[in-house]
Formats: sequence, C-alpha cells, structure tokens
Amino acid sequence: MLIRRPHLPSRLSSSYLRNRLVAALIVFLAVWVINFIIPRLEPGNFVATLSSRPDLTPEQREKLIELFGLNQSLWVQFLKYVQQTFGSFPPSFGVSFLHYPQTVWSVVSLALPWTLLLIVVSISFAWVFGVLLGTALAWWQGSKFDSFVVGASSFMWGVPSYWLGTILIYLFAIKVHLFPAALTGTGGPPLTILSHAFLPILTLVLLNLPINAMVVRNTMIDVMREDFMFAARARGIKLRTLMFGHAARNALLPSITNLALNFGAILSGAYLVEIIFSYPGMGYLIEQSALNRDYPVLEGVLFFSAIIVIVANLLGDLSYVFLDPRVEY
Amino acid sequence: MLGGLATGLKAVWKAVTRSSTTKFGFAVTASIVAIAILAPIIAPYPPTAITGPSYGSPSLKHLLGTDDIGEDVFSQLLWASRGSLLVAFGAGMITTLLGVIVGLAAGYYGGRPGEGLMRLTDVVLVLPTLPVLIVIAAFAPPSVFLVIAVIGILSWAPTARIIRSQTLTLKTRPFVDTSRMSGMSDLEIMLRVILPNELSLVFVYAVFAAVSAVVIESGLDFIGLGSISNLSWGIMLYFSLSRDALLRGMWWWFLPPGLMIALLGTGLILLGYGIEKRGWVRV
Repeated sequence: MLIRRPHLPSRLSSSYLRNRLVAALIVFLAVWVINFIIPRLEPGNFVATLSSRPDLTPEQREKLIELFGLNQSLWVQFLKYVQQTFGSFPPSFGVSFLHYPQTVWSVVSLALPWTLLLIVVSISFAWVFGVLLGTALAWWQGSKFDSFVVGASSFMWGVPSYWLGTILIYLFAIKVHLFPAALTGTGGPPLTILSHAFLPILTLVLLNLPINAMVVRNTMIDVMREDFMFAARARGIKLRTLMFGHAARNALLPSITNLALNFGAILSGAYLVEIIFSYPGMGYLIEQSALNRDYPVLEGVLFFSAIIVIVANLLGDLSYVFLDPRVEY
Repeated sequence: MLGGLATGLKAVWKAVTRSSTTKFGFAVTASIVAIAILAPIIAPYPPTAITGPSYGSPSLKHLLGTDDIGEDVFSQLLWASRGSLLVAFGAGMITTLLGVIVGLAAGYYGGRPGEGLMRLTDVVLVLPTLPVLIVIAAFAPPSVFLVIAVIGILSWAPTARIIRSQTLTLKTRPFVDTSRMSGMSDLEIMLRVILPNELSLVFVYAVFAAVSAVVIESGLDFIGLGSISNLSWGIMLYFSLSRDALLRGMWWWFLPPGLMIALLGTGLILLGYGIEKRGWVRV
C-alpha cells in the first residue's frame, strides 16, 4: 500500500513563516475592523447612553460627543479610528471616559502586564504538570488513579472559574489566613506580588491542568496503538523507552494545539478570576469599564484581548517547528 | 436523505450504551433534563415566591435555606436548570450548525472558497467570547436570546476546523467517488455520505460548545450584565455572591449552583467522550 506522506511545512525561514505571519496579519486587520463595528452595531448607542447619564451636565455631554466624534458620520468616525490606531506609536485608541484625560493605551498598558503575568505563569504550570500527569495517567491507564483524574477533568470543564476562585478565597484567605484575598496589584517587592497573585494563579492552574493532562493521556494512548509502536516493541525496545521517549513526545504537540485553540476560553476564565480577586489586569479593567460605561476603554480591552489570542495561536503554530523534528526550519 | 443520518444516530446511540462511563454521563445529563422539565411539579415553591425568613438556614421546609428576601433556594436551583439548559442547547445548536456548514463546505469544495472560509474561521477563533459579550452588554443588558446568539456566532470555529479536516480525508475515499458516479449531487454527498461518518465527532464538539456556553453565560451573569429575567444557575451565583453568601457562612446558597453547572458539564462531556469513536475515555 502506498503511504502518502502528509504535506509538512518545510523551511520555516521562507514560505511557512511568511504565510503564517500574513495570515496573522489578516486576522489582526479583521479583528481591528470588527472592534470598530461591534460598539456601533446599534446606531446612536453611544449618544443615547451618554444622554442617560445623570452625572453629566448638558455642556459636558456636548463636549464629550464632540470629543469622540459621535455626531459625525460613521465614515468620519472610522477615519478617526484609523488615525487613533496608526497615527502614533503606541496607538492611543482615543481618550478614556472614566480616566479622562488619559488615553486608552495608557490605561490598558497598565493592566496588560498583570494579565500576561497571570496567564503565562498559570498556563506554564498547567502545561508542564499536565504533561507529567498525563504521561503518568497513560502509564497507569485503567487504574483507580486514572479513573479519578479522568472524572475530575470532565468535572473541571464545567467549573466556572470565579466560583472556584471564591471557594479558594474562602478557604485560604478567610478561614485560614494564608494568602491575601484581594488587592493583588498594589505592587511592592516580588514576594508580595507573588503572595497576592498566588490564589488567582492556583485557581487557573487547577482549572486548566486536568484538561491538559487528559489531552496528553489520550494522545499517548492513541500513539501506543499505532503500528509503528508494535513494530518497535517487536524489535525489543523497552515499553518504558517507548512510552516516555516516543509517545510522550508525540503528545506534546496536540496539548499545545489544544491550549492555542481554547485560548479565548482560557482568557475569559482568567478575566473572571481577576474580577473576583480584584487583580488589576484586563479582566478587572473590562468589568470596571463596562459598569462605568467607559466605551473607549472597552474597545481597547476587547482589541488587546483579541491580540493576546492571536499571538498565542501564532506561538502555538511556531512551537511545532521546535517540537516536531519532521518540520524543518 | 434521512437514511444516512438515521444510521449515524443509531451508531451514536450504540456508543452511548457501550461503556459505563458513557452511561453515567447519559444518566447525569438525563436527570438534569428531567429536573428542568419537571421543575413545576418537583419544586416545593415557585422560584420567586417569598416563603420564609430572609437568609434562612437549611431546614426541612427549605432544603437549601432561603435567600435575602426569603425565596426558597432549593426551588430556585431546580427552576434555574431551565435557564442554563436553554443556553446550553441553544448555543450548542447554533455553534454546531454553523461549524458543520462551514467545515463541510470548506473541506468538500476546497480551493479558494475553502481557503476563504478558513480565513473567516481564523478570525472567529481569536475573538474572545466573554469580552465581546461584555462590550455588547455594556450598552444594554442583553436578552438571553441575544446572549445565546452571540455565543453561538463566536464559538463555531473549532467545530469548523475539525469537520473540514475530516471532510478533506473522507472525500478522497472510494465510496465518495462511487456515490458521485451514481449521480448524487454535491449536497447529497455532503449530507448523506460524508456527514454521517462525522456524526460522533460533531456530537463531541457540540457537547463541549454547550458546556462552554453555560460557563460563559454564568460569567456574564456574575459580572452583573446577564439577563435577570432568565433564571439560570449563573444568575443564582450572581445573587449569592452579591449578597456575600459565603461570608455569611451560607455555603448552601453559594455551592449548589456552581456544582450543578459543573455536574451538567461532567455529564455532557463523559457522554461526548464515549461517543467519539476514537474514544477519549477508555476506562
């Protein structure tokens, strides 16, 4: 039987990398346009909401409407949007309602590092320990331990992150005073930041680790059933070597793909955790902006949230090049 | 037309009854659906009737105590299954329908239209659902149907990807050529020949979409931007959190709604795992 080799992207330096970057750029531009459209889907919304705010005098309202160009045609507003994005670096994205006269960028750029810290640390832990746990589960497949984690991971899929976060606050900050419950972003020495960020990170690790372990476990079990694994065993290669050397390696890629594919959901979960811990990241910012109707900042947070997902997907694709020996670069 | 789908559904049912894990998943899901249907009969009180003291502890009269205005929490828990299941099935259906249409078309036709559809999929994939919902809700608290529609419209990308890649493989199989030679139209081949072979995969992705939808909707509720007219477990969590249930020691008000969301997820996912042919769960 003729075995057709799958077409693999070769030569990262040339076409693969370029195609991937062009695709990411197209996605970026599309998201950028969608970000303009979503808040304007119902015409007059900005103005209507501004008019219903009792804390503004008519003069202030007029000034705001003029400042944000809300009385102009969509086309003029779009040109303004273009100018706010590409007119300067970093892009200003206009002026915040709530933090006037600060620009959206100056507000968002304060929150962005906190979210990145939370996500990068918790996803790294969840990934590394998920791979280890998943490998162990595949090794002891069918054991009680295995069944327990399989059940736990199905359970974790449906657990709302803020619900788990609240339980952890209750257990470790109120019942037992181990960690501070809130006000994570007061800064200070690294140890203080760590102790404040510990519970939010723990929440996200607990949510994402079992799911990742399941992906690794199942891929490894699938790989162990492939013909070439039987052939390798027939040649006398030890099961242990096959499992940890071959199967585990094959399971790394799907686990990364899974993380990248679900990154939007992971980010949403992280935002809710930020809110429950008053952790000063993008999630907390988007909540505050939504409750205070700070539309420019809302748009900014939405935009940068999409950027985070785009970058995560790009990194996920590029990681193939480093983890899969068949992909040359 | 329906013959192929019926065969596929029969295979799905066979998979449900195959393993104990899947049976368990089916039992949990079916129980929650039964609770939702029978809520008016089995709930001791209407969900919004004031039937006891405020912040009452659990008692025989009120199994899970009462909330801040004296409504029965246990009755609310049963009634709220309706709101959450509405989101699960509504958003799950929209996600699956869109994902299957885009995935089948992109995989079957390929070429430039297929590439175009996949670029669209790439865009949808990176739009994070919850932030988009928050932005929309910031203008006006949306109705539950708008929330369902938005979740559905933003969640179909993974389904479309997997269906496309499966369709790409399946369409090179000899039986597809045979069907074409026997005079079937493209639409018939897609729906009667290719789709039935992907049905288990479609089901697994639908299940994950449904679970994510409930979790996302509860997140929107938690922020206070959800639709209060649609009593769901998320709305219950919002009220118990905003009334500091846990700080008052009223874990019976705070834990059950989250537990029910997680149980619905467990049931659906164990069901889904078992049905996928390559089976994730092989215990």
